[in-house]
Amino acid sequence: MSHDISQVAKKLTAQSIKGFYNPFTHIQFPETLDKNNWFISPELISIHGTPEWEALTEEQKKKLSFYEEVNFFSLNVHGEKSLLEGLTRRLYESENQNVTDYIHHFIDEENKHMYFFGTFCEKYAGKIYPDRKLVFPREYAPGEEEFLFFIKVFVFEEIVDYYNITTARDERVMPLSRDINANHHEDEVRHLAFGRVVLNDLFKTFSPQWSAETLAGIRDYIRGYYVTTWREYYNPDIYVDAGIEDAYDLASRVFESEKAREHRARASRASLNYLKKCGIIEEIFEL
Amino acid sequence: MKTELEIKETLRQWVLKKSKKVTDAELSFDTHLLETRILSSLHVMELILEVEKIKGSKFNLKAIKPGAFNTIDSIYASFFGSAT
Repeated sequence: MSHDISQVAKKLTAQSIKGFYNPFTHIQFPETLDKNNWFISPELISIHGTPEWEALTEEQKKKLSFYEEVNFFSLNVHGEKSLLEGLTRRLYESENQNVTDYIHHFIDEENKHMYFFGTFCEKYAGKIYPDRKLVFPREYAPGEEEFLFFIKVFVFEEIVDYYNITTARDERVMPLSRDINANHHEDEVRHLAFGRVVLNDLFKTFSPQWSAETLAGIRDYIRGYYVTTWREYYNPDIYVDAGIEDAYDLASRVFESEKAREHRARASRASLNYLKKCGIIEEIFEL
Repeated sequence: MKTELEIKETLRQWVLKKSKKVTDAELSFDTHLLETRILSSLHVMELILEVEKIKGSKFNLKAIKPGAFNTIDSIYASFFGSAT
């Protein structure tokens, strides 16, 4: 589990330079989109398998898939905005030049992704769904704030990547959506690798100094952050736009359902296993 | 439309369900939810959804004032009071 962060950053920088692209010509956005298409793998749709899902026609299911993708891309826009703020604050803070060099690429690539996600949402849905998360200031133990920043990056990106891979490989999904998901995954592979090494490194450095209470609080936070992140995938705005009634009740009911729990466990398994292997969490928890 | 008391009680029950850090007897409408860590930042997204559900409409998240989520009384005043 031990990696030299400097060498990892150097290697990732070389890969980023090799794969560098112009975001404004890399993906073509047609003027209009035929909404009678799958925009996300049907199995990833939040209400998939519920009686409400079964009651929809094929055309309604595809319309819902469009708004599910708009929600997924909106979550990415909000997540990456926070990530960019955090990464920018960390530029030139590390004594390690290779880490700073890689953060420049990380920022560059996240900015490109936001352009893809934001363009899709604005051009075809005329909006980005609002972010309902708020953060209140609080006191932190030494290293805790830094560690929690990278935990948030880790949880957000690991879940997103599961959706990217599934949709990018799904031949039922329309090409533009597959392209955006595939492109995101290709860059995220490097970000995930970097995030995992940083997280493990920070935990090894700071956790011996944390009190039992701080560590328990951090573990509670990790669980809570997973739950909150997942809850955003069950956004009532999607159902309102897709013309499905009782949007708020439906969102809560589906989120609490056994089928949805199984889906979240499946999509979170790899990341939770990694956290357990690093000793960051003690047990795999239910989501 | 629910009465003020019904809305506050719905919110109180929501807090009891979501937080393991307070008992029914300890939680009143003026109990500080954030200072006492009964709720954290992580609860707020779901709390906003709950408020929207009770209210039956969305509200401008950018217009939320500091302190809006301090107590059940302040949540009521911020999102259901006569000024909103």
